[in-house]
Amino acid sequence: MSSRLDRIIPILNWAAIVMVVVSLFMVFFFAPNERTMGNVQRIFYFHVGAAWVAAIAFFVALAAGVLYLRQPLAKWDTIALASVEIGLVFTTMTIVSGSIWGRPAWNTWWVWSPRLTLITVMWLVYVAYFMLRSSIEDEEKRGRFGAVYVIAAFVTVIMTYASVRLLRDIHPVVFGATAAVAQGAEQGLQEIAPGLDSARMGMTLTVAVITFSLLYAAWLANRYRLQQLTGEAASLKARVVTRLQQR
Amino acid sequence: MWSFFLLAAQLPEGVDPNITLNYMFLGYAAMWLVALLYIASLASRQHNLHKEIKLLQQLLEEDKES
Repeated sequence: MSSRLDRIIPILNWAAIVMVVVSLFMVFFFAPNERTMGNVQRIFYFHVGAAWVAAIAFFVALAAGVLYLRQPLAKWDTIALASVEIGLVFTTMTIVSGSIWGRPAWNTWWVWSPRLTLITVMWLVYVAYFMLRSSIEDEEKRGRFGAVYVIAAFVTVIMTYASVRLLRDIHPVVFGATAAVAQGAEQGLQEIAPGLDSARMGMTLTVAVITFSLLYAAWLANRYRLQQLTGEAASLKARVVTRLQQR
Repeated sequence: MWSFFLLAAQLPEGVDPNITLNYMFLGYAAMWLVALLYIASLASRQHNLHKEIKLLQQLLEEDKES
């Protein structure tokens, strides 16, 4: 497994680097300037990409949690742990970029709107996952409790993503949005005229989402390998301790 | 197909969209700083583990020889 992973990791790393360069080029030179907000709208491509992949990461953690409860193999626990860690990084990127976009768009860095409040709750809930894990010493118990926790924690992801559709919110509705859906967006709506410009924006967003997905896969593989090394170091330590006790 | 590009926000009145260039750069810089910090943490943890494994293997071998 580890030798296969060792072969895959450099490929994923390089593919992610190439895609990051391509998507940065598309964001800055291919996508058109948005009519109302100007250049700051370009944050949107990576902001949405990061948010999307964060949700995927937490979903992978949920799936790994379910699989662990069905069959308690260490690999499912490792995947859940790695995925939550990476999901948190992407959530942080989403929050930071959204806050910076909000300054010129909303005239404030932060608003305690339902979406922004819920994403903060989601972030804190997943941070608490690490606190839970570090408080349990028994490996099997830690895996079981962690699995149940990531399954339950996914409710916060659903709530965050549904909040802009169900509650009155300042945050834009992006996917599948219509003016009617985005009720409560009092600052007004701007629909990009269909045609070349919106197609270019769509292509840029698609490439950004693919890039972030690839980045997630690369980080997941690296993080999984790291956990394998941690296990290897722990077993070597145990052997050294046994030798010392035998003396 | 791309009618989902609805952005429920406008710049405050009188703000020139071009001044948002600074915010765009700040946004990208902050995002990539978070990403780079994570990559650095992964690299550093991996480096420390490799060092630790090497040291432990060395200890076991020395013990075997003695």
